[in-house]
Amino acid sequence: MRVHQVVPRLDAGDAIGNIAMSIHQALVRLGCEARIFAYDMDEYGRRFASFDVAYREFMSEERDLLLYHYGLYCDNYRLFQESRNRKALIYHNITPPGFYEAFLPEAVRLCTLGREVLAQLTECDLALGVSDFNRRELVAMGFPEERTGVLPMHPPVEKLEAADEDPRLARWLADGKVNLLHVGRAVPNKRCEDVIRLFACYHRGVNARSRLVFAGPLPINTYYSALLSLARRMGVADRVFFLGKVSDGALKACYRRSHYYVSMSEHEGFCVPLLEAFHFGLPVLAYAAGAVPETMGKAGVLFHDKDYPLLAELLDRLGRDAFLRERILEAQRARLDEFGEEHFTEGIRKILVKLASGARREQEAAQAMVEEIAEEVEKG
Amino acid sequence: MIEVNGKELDEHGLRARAEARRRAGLYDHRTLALLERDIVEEVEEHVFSMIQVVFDLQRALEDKGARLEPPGDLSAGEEGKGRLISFMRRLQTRFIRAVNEGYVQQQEKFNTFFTKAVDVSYRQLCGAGGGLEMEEAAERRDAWVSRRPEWGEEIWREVPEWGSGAAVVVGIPGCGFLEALRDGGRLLLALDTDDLIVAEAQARFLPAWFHPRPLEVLVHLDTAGVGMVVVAFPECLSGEEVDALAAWASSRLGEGGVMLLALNRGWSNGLCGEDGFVRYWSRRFLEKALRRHGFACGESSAGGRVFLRGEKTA
Repeated sequence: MRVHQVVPRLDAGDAIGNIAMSIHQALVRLGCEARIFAYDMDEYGRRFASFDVAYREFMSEERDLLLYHYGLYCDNYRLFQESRNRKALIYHNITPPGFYEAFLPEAVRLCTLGREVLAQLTECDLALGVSDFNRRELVAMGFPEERTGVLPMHPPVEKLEAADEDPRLARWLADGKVNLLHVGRAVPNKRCEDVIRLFACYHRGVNARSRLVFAGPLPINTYYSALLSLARRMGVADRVFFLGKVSDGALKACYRRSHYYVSMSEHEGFCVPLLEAFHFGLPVLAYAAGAVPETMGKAGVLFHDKDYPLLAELLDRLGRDAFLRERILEAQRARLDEFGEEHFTEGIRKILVKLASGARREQEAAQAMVEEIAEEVEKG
Repeated sequence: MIEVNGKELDEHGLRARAEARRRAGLYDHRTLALLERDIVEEVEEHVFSMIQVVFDLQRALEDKGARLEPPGDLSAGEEGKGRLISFMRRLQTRFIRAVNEGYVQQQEKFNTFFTKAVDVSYRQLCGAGGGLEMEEAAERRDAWVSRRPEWGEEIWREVPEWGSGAAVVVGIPGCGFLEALRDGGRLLLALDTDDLIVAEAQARFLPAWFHPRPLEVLVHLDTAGVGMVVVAFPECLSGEEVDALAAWASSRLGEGGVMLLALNRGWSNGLCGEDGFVRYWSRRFLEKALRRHGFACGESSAGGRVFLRGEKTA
């Protein structure tokens, strides 16, 4: 079986790219002929993908399968529309444009466009969300519910485990301070400002021997500048660190040497860093929004109100109450097991079977119709 | 509501502790107000990316062997110290002058935005993780902090009897002293550049904050009722900071208000050469700083420690 994946970008550390790579590996394990095509890519992506124009060669093959990843507006959606492969859309979610209004008008335009285009992609055999939250959005967008589903996920923790921990960063983070960690792009829907607020309360009121680390790209200068300004105003600028995009080794050091993972995000399609934090044994405190409750399952700390002094006390309690912390970590480990490789590969296999059997059923129906017409012609 | 492993957590204990900290003064009105401030209010209109320019400049500086040394106290702020400022100065001479003279003469606004953009880009490229080794500086600082003397019980008993009104303590000479002030109903806030002692004070619900440049915090402090300012380690402040602190105290203290500076080092310490030694301020220098801002100087002692005592005159 030949399976193609088309993605907007294939970059190291990028969420969509990571999922595409996990699927690619699962496809190879299942004995499929697998390819990845990307609109653009970085050095890392070049090792695995071809530019999406090369996919045109396979578009007319009705027996081939296409998995199209959609998480932001990208011109290659036309390839998906024009393709005659059996098609599955994998929806990673598009941030509601409102989040960007004050910071990046261009992003507002792209997100709006992205959501408009999504409504034009309903002609497919299967539409998968990376979470049920995303699946429900697809249904709301007009995708027939019976043709929707949830893609199993597998966080790329093996890749992180295999990386050599950045020794300098590890030394810096292991200096006795309590490290709060947030991983991901610093963009407005992640509400990095709220993470700073929580840290300010913890640092000011509970434990001055602490620091906050943001590991992830800083794509919007206006937002980043506003975050720095807030940290300065709150008197914690010297203890809030933005590392920018980091290598796997640096990310591993961040996870291994931090004490808590904090998410204040108000819109997430899945949120892989939560599971990475589970893997590295960090108690996770996350705001219950978007797909976050679904990803966390019944593990970790989920809060519904951003009461910063209260959450600062909770961090303090987790530091003092080893029993509570261990119970959380145990639940997190159990939750992470549900995202294991075998489960993921099996999930991918089922999706392929569903797509392929749908194709077979249609072929059989078409064949039956042809035979019926031929019979009628003979009789006539 | 807070859920732990899917079950609702009993928040009563946490709420009580948060409230106790609020009552103890660990969260002031300003901090609480900032928790509500919309991030959009922090947005400045014209911040544009200069990443490539800064990256090229950084490379050029490194190639030429220019070293952007961190300061001894690890400050990276806006006080004219630190690698960022050092970097910015080089940048200003190299770039802004060229841009100014060549293309946009007398456009101050442009310069402001340009500088801001460079600042943001610099932090993105050269900040923690991408920046310079700070370990040596941190070791120096630890050595310095570990040599600060802790005050004994006699001082705890005597100093809180001096002056009147609430006290602000700059530099924490042990939590016992702060507890004595609190028990006497006199502790407004203690500040320190050492997070370890601050964390110890916070664990005892004492109003103590960490800041590498304490004056930046003091200017925002609601100081109604303040009658005493205690500077436990004047030698840990730069000359500018001592002067600014005296000016701040002068503006906040009423007539009869007291500013105490502990005289921890004699003149012979100035040449001691010990690890982590920072500086020695002569008594003359400290007196001059106090007098300049309207304090009459005298001397007090408690528990074998001598204090320079400045009393605010009319």
